[in-house]
Amino acid sequence: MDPQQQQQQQTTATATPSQKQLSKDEVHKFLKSAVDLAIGSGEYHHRAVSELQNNITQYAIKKIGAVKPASTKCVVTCTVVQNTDAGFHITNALHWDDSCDTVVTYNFQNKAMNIVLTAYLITT
Amino acid sequence: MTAPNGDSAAAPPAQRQRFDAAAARRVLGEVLRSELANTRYEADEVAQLGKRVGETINRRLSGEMALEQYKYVTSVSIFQNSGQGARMGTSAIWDPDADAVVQDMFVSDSIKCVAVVFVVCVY
Repeated sequence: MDPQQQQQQQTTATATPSQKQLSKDEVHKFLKSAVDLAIGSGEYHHRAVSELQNNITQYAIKKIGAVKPASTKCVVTCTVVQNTDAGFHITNALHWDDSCDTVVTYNFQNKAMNIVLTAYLITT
Repeated sequence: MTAPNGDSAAAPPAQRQRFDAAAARRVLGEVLRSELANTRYEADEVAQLGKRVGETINRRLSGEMALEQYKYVTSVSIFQNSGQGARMGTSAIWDPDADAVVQDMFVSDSIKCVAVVFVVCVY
């Protein structure tokens, strides 16, 4: 292969971050790691839950923000609920463009708490 | 406070009208009160209830605010009101000048409901 051809191949092989599509699987992995890294002992303590929620949210949005296309806006919501007999339900109503906007949710549950972590990716 | 319709006539036509978060909050409050007053927490109905609240909010916002360049993402959380602890937070990478978050809460003996609307501008 002559040097010019090689160079051509090298250029087309690289994708700039702004062109790369962010897949739902990748986002889901970020959300899951955010919880795994922040969860610690996994107990619900009222004074610690604010920091837990903040750590999860900040980690998730930092990871997503580093790889998302520049034309995409991202919103991450984290809800931590103490696990008792009481029920709860979180619903999303989305008035947007289904062809270019997505939502990815990660649910975590242990004896002490439920965590619902949602990332909304909106193309402008 | 954002400019009412009268003032925007003086602004150049190209200028985007700023989203009125206070008006949106009033809409949120109205929807929550009208849909949730006199409801009890029923596990098999709560999903439908949340969906109805969210869709009504979106319908009213997109109809009344009437600004085509906005997308609305509404999150409705309904909790059985029995004293369990909870914490909800969000973070966003967006345009702080154009985008907004609006939230309101409804509390009764039986349920606690938090509605959060993310209003995102498209260019």
